[in-house]
Amino acid sequence: MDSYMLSVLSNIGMISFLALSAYLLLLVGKVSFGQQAYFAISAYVSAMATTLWGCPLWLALFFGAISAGISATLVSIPTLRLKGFYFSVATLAFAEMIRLGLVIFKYQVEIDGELVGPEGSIGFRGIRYIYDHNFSSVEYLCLIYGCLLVVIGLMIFWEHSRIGSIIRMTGADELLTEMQGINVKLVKVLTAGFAGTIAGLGGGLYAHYLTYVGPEMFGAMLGVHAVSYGLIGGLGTTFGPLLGTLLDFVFLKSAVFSEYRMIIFGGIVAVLLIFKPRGLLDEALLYKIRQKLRKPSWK
Amino acid sequence: MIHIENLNMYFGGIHAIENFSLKVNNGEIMGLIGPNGSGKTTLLNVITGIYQPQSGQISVQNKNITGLAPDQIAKFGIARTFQNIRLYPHMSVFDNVWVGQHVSKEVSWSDWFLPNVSKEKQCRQRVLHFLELTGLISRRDDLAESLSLVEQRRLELARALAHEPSFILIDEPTGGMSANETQDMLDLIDLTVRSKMTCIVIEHNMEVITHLCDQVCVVNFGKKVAEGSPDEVFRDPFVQEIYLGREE
Amino acid sequence: MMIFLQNCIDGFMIGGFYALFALGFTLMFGVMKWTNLAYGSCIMLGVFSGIWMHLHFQLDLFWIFFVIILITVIAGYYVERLCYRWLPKKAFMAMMVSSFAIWMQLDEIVRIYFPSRSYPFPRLMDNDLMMIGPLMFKAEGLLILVICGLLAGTIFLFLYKTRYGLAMRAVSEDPVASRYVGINMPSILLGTSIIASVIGGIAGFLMATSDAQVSTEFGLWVTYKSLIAMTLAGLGSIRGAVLGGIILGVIEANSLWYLGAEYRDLVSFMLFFIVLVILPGGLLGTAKEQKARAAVRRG
Repeated sequence: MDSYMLSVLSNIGMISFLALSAYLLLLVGKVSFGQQAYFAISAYVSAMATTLWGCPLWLALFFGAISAGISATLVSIPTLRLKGFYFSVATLAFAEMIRLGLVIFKYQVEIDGELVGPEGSIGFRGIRYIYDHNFSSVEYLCLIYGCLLVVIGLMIFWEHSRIGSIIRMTGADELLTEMQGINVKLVKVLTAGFAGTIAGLGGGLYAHYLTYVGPEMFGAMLGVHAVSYGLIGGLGTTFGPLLGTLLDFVFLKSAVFSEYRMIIFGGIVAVLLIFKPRGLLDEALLYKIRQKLRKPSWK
Repeated sequence: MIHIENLNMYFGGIHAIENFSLKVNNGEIMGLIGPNGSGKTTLLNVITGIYQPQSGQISVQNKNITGLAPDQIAKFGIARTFQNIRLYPHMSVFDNVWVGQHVSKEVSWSDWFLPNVSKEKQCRQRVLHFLELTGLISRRDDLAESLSLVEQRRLELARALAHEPSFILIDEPTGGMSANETQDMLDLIDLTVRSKMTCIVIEHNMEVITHLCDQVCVVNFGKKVAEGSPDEVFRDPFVQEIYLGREE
Repeated sequence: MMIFLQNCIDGFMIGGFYALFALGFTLMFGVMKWTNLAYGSCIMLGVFSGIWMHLHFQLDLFWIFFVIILITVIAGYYVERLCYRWLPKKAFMAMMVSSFAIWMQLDEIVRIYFPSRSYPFPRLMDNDLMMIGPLMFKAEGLLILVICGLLAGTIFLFLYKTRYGLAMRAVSEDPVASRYVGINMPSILLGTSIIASVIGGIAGFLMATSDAQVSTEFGLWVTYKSLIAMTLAGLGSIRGAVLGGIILGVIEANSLWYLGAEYRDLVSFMLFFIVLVILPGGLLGTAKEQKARAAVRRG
């Protein structure tokens, strides 16, 4: 496999984490423009873990994901009670706060005579873990997809368990769901925390892949794209946001479209929302598919 | 037993429920009647925690549930149906009933994340049982929104029953139904509810009230104006006046 | 103390712009119940069209102004059709999401034709400084402030003294009732969108001449400032939008002086986030709203 292909696949893999993260929040009925904040937090934390504190990669990824998850849970507590528009704008505000905070954040440690660490707007260079430990590109790709498959597997398993239906119920009709005895606040906070953790896992992988992270990488556009992937690909299944991610990369990499990618992508989202507000693989389509397969209606 | 004491509910300047007190004994079916806008549905909304009353107390089996959140109240074993039908339109009939089980005592927290195969099988049987009871078994894989009005009302009842509740609050179950459909619904409620749980039913159809209810409470402008057996209440001249008007 | 006052004056100047942008944005939010995240992008498209005209045809300022307004209105119309008119009335979230897709689209169009970070723009007048006592005023700044004030004043007069304005306010209060009394909804909604575009275009033009340059981040910047200004003083309130803009300007100017350039935007966003979460009624919050919410729990 040539290195270009490897790079494309790696990127698709890592951005998928972000898409899945935004998708989870869409399921509970919230549009979050700010999942990139958790992507960023974890990128920095895990990069600092390997570069400054000498942690092994798996531990660094763990720290990154956990810190993202905790941040997401804490932020969700005050924000999840906000209604639609207010929530979305609040997530955007928080993500910008993180980004602007990273522009200021400087923390450098001397290692082997050199200053290493996040340097505000200059960014965080020298995240050399995978090169120092002789990870090949293929091995790293396997790591990315290994983690992704675990996450997808977990989400699909839970999709078919009671928690999956509870999350969708919460998104469909919060009050009715409360009346079915479900603590809707708790469900939303847990979902947000889990979504943050997933984004975090992706962020940690991202930082080590690029060997450099900087605040300019985590702007609103990233978050806006992440949400679009779920909206385009479909909210009926975990494969929806993955489809959306794939479609965007196909447009990006296909030579004909690449220059006008956002124009077309943006246009598609807008038009799709008129006809298929829940995306391509929406609940209605999934229902028809299940009918065709005549799946028995128990989980 | 449901015990409501001196309940007051205001919406801004509107006194929707005024000094309302009611006792519903265990196993009793209490009818709640009154003109439109008299506060019957509001009362159900207060009991189930949608609204917080300004004063008064509601207790269930001597436990105070006033001001609790709807999910906490549901866990006390209180289920309800909605006057305007509130289902999950994009979920199947089966799933709409299945979700009622999330709160039943059979299902615990951990079952949400790690389904126990044999338990889920049992749960599935229970759901099918309720669907059979309400005559919806043949429609179990259809989307809830594709059902007729009558079927949707029965589905709401099935979902409420899936809670395995101790108390069931039914809001206008025969609204919009023909005479035959009403009779079927009446029989269904009688079959599923009588002697099994305590019930408050809001109705406008007096036939239903007479045949179904042990006791009746009449509400007008948020106040209780009469209480007693269906016979007593319907013979009360004041009740007749509220519904039929006075001869001048 | 003098420094504080000077900062406030500087803040007032820039606040005038924020007020205008927020005014246009709020008109759409309040009257059309539409969160138009592509608002800044439409204005940017307009301004850059002006720049293009200037670069290729050496038009003088009057014609550039005309082009800017024209293009902003056309872009606004395009967005209104795609993201608002053709979506079902209740789909507020879809409208917002759709508008951000178009935001991506329009931003990209500008970026393709204008790859540099910033472009020069002709000045309206020379940058004279005036001294009133110990305080410094930019002559141009004062002129612009006056124009902003006049424009805001005109909008108020229009809203409160004309039949059309009355219709707009009626629609913002109760769209259904407005239909029943014979108000031509499509006309009002289109009219609001056009007025908002015109205000935005004027503000964009004034901003460009004042700075003598425009950056390709302009669109995003305007959207952010409008959102923050609108939120600070109470969402949906037109008077609030103007006040919010001024407050934002003053806060920014003071943050800039006391904390430094890096902290200026961070402070704005932090305030934004806090206001959203704690005081959704804005700093001048509608206490009526808070009380009404306390009476009933949900439903």
